Amino acid sequence: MGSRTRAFIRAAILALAVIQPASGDQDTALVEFHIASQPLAQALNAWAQQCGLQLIWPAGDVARIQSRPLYGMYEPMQALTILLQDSGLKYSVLSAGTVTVAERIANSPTVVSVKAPNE
Amino acid sequence: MDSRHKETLSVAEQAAEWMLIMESPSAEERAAFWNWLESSPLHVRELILAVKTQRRLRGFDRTRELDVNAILARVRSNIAHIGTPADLEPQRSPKTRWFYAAAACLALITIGAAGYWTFWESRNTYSTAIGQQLVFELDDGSVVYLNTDSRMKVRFSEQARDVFLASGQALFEVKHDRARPFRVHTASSIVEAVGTQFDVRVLGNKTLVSVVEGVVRVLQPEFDSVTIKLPEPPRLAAGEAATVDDHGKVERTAKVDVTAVSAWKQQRLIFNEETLGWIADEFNRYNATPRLRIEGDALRAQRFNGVFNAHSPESLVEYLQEYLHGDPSIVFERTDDEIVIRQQTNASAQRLDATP
Repeated sequence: MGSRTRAFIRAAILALAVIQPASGDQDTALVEFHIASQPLAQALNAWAQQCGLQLIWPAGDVARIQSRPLYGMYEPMQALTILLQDSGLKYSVLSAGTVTVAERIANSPTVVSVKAPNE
Repeated sequence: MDSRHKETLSVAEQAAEWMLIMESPSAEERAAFWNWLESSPLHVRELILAVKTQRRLRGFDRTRELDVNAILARVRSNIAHIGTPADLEPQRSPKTRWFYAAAACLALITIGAAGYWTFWESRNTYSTAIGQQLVFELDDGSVVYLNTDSRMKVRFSEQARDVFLASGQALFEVKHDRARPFRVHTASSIVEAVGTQFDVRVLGNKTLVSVVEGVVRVLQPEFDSVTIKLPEPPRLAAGEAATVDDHGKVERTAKVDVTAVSAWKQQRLIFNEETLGWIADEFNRYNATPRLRIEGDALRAQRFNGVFNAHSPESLVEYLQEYLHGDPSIVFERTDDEIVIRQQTNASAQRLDATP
């Protein structure tokens, strides 16, 4: 295979990688994650970067706890669930492509506690 | 001096040779010296720096040094105007002469750099509008990613690869060339690399430097010369970042995530405990409309983590509407080109509550 062909394929893959986050079925597509153990805020930012979703949540002490490492192929929400295990946090989806994270406790002044009466 | 030989020397070396010659020049040499000096503001700058070096080495032996004030007076007409301090007039008193000479040096370096700017204004300029990004390869094979709302100029010579970032942000993937250092100049700093990858952002009167790969040295504009090296210019390695203020003070920041440094190339904004005020300003860098305006100090100071597409300010607004829901002091206002999120002061909020 010529270097030009290889370059083209690489460019095509790159283009796909850029376009992929915008497609509708990103929630169920498998994504390869490489997230080292690090402060949770950075780990979740890495998660969002690697799957192409948007993420926002308030900064605070819980954002600084050490995350568990995560490597391998996962659906984005499956990966997020693993990252949030034992953190006392849970995610919710605001709209297609935007995810937020908040504490599970009932009196938390956050989106999730308001929106999750079944908790 | 043999002119062919002179051509092969770096500007700094030429300056050093001229200094020796000018200790007792012939009329011919004197004329050649002025020609050389006036042919480029860079020559002026290097000469001044050479004088400073000499001054250090010789312990201020004034009998043997060039008269900087005379040089300043002579070449000033050749150098562009631009916001020079009014008190530049060469003055002397025996006691304070060194002080004025030093001040003149600084001023002249400033003027020289600015003249240099004007000279190259029409060439090698790259700029982006709000929301635009540009990628281009320089003559040496280095690659530049120019972020939104940015302006830079490129000036390559046989001795150095100089880039002037006037505003905005750029990421540099520098081709290795030990003979020609790659230098990024901003108003407050000079970042020098041989072969590496780093990001430079102009933030008001500060410069933020973040290193993705390799090592860079952070120099102060005053010492921008191959002849003068600071004893220990601050070095930044991969994953390190620092701000440089307009006094040249270098302040290291927390370690940076190298993948986050270059995320803007994919138009992704990454926030790590950033204030809402900063986050809104970041969106505004990339979007002419809608502009985000956050009013109220307490609201602006709230901190968030997250990742956004730079062109989705609406996603942030959607989140804030949910997050701030139930806080009666918060008001959202939309016009055609602006979204205002305002935290009412106690007084105005109460007034609002009183209204049926």
